[in-house]
Amino acid sequence: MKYRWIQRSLLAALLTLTPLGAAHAAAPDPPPTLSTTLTGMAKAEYEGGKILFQDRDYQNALIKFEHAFALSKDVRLLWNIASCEKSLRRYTRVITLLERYQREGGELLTDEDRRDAKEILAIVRGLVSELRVMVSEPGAEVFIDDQKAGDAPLSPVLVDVGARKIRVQKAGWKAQTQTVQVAGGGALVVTAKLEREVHKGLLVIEAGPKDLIALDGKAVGLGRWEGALPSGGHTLRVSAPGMLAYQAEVTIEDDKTRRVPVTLNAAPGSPDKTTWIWLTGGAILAAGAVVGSVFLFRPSEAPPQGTIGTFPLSFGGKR
Amino acid sequence: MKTKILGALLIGLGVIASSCSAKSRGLVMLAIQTDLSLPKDIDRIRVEVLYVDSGAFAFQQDFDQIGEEGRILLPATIGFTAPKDPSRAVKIRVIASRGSDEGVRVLREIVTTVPVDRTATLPVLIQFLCDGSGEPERDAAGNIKRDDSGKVIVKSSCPEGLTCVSGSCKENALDPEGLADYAPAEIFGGGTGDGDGQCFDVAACFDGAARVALDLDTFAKGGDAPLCQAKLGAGLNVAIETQGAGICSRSRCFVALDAESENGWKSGASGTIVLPPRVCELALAGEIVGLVASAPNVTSCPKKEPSIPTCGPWSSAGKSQPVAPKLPVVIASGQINPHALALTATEVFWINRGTFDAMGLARSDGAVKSTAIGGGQPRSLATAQASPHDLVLDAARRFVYWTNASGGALMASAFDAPKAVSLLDGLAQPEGLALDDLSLYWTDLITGEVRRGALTIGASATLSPEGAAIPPAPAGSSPRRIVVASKGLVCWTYEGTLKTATGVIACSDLTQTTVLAKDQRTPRAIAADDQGDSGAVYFASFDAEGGIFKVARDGKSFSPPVEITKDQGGEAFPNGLAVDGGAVYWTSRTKGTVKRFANGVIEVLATDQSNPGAVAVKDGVVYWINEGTPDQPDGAIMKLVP
Repeated sequence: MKYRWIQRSLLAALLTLTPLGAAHAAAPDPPPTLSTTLTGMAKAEYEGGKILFQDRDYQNALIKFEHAFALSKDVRLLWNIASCEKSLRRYTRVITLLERYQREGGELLTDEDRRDAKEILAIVRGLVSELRVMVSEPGAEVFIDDQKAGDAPLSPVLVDVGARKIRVQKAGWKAQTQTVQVAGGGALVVTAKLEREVHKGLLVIEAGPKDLIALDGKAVGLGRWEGALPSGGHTLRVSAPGMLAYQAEVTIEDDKTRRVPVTLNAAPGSPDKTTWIWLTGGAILAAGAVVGSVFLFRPSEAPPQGTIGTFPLSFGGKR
Repeated sequence: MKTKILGALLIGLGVIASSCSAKSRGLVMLAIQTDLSLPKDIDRIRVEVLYVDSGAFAFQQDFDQIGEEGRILLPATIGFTAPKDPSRAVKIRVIASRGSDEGVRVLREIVTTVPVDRTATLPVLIQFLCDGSGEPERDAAGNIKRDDSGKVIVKSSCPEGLTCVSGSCKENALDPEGLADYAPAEIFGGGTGDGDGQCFDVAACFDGAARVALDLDTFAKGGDAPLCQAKLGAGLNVAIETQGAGICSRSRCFVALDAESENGWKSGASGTIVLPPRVCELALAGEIVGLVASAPNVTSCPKKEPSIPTCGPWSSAGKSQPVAPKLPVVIASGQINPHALALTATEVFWINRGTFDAMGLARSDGAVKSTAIGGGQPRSLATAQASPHDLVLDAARRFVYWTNASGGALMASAFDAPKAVSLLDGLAQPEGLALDDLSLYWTDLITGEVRRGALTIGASATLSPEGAAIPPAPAGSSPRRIVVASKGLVCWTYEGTLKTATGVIACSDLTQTTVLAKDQRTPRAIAADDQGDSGAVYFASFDAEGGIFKVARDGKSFSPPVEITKDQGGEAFPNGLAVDGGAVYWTSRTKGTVKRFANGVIEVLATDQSNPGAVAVKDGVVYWINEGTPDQPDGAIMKLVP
């Protein structure tokens, strides 16, 4: 019911297109109407706006009234502009316009004009809510319905009733968009916790059960390894004692899975692969192993395996 | 000085290693064990090995979901063979976290070299006493720092060169010569780590254990090297009774301490045992309940030694008893007069009312606390509170509100970086709280008023009280609990005069107040079904012959109350009330039961509870408070998956 009342009230005002106060005969010395005070282009724009408004072309009527106001600075035109904004369901703008109308209207407004504005403001305020967007990253841009509202941290802003799209973005962070239902007449808080944009993909290495897999100089596992890596080039090395090591540059693309099957070839005259873990000490040990191979490379002497595994510390590492 | 000592040690290690490098078969086996409970206290571990000279990683791997079937069980061992140059010292870091990689709890660092001619065991104990020994590094803006691969950068709470051992910062350099040869039986309770061997059942061995007084006076006067001790013979098993960390029985939680160990306790002079200083520090800070002891039992409770790990579903040693699916579990224990309860998706919040002096005045030793929804060591969001009576949460904005009897205040704190602030004071006796978006409602037990204030949330919260009270209900006195039934509609109980049928239940849309029921016997708890304008209102009559009543609702139109427990013969002081998914849950204080009413059937969910009070339900999981004995640290927060 209240909504209809607003419509009627504003519409009635606009059908006559005179400030409300001018219609009240009881008021002493009412100010002259807009039609009589506006002149030249301002009057032409004002009259054009009236016709468009009656034709329900609110968007173009708004342009005409705004132009008339820019030319004349007659504050009463803010009422007409507010009427267009209301018809376009942009209630936060209605509030801004009517508050200015009250503030700057001076003697051009009658008491009844002010009372009407106050009543309408009270009702329209029930059609907006105070929105606070709490963003985890300072400096992030906040957009409401694709219009930039400011940078975080952002003071509360008034938003219109209905579905509002909130977008928060910052370079290097994943943009976050959410739609909130604004009930009007209250306050709501939207929290945006931005996550750092990580460019990474998935790499799957499938090698022999005891082949050592190293990425960028770091041992990562035996036999099979699967994990996320930053996008870009990585050095993959798969090795095993007595086998020819495999080394290649692997390029990882954003959000894609790269699968690399590796089968090592036996090196000519190499010892039993099961002894590989003793060889990770390097070439000197390997040379020594030739002398004492019977003792050193018995499979039964394989090092104890932890429940998680046993890994050599023989790779160069990466800072 | 410490740097020089470390340098000398490492040089020494290098000489030893170099002289033996021809053999170069060395291996160090990390034996990772914990005195905590998995996944409640920790649920992921990262192992890092770095070369000390270059800072380069030789190994870095996250092990998520530890302690679950098919995953890594503890104790766990991970071996590292000697590097090419076995004289190179390595820094081993074991990081234990909970919830996410940002939830770092414990960091243990060891700097050593790998023995060159043998397999040595390097025990790494993830200790309760070192909770907080690691934390994520943050930039100037407070954001957690990550390395190029996205891993959280973890820093130690100890100065450089030191690491946490039993709660104290000690040298992290370790002479490998001092490490024992690797023997699986010494790690896995005599077994191999494949479910064989023996484990120590902490819950069973300490559930009825007697409390032992710590000599806190001596400790407090101890100066720079305080001695934490207790009068106790050396033949007993000893544990810290915690407020939720460690392994929990049906009502208490413990961290078992190894006998005659640096990580546990040692025999002291004339019938005393000496404990890590951190034990006394935690006791003085009120963060543990205290110390308990029980006699060993050869068959089921052996003497607790480092070689016998604790039992649990996460244990790689011994056979654990499967957890009965429908038994209540403790998620926080050792609480003094715990009261109101509230939940978010990840945390449980409650208040401890604290104690009272001989005049009946609150001692201002109450607290607002929370713990993870799965349990664990609680954190205090506010302490030194005077008999808080109710709390309410704004989970979206991450704020908690509660009452404080000192000065009649309404209090607030953010969940994160908590700091208690007074929103409003001068109230006679603020009692119940309810929150509807940014409207905070409260009842005043003495003035009989129900009021509303508008909250503004920034770095902290502020409150602008509305000018007028919400219209009172005729004949209503002593308003107690209040609840938001739907947007703009609040309902509350007037308990009236105790033991008389003078209670009233009322709802108000802030302009008009409607009486739902009158002539009730001490109605206190109230709850509303989360069904918008058709959600029913429930209330509980806190009386020996009390009951649970339902008031059906259609918008602002209410039906007469119907007692849903009519055929139960009295509910014996129903004390808490919650509604979830159409089912009603309540506790009966003197019967010690937790019940549910759903689809016309009343079901007993739990029995033998210690003065159960407030109840809350989320996603079908029931949480409640066992208020325990007045002024004794035996209150608990319980959880049950029906």
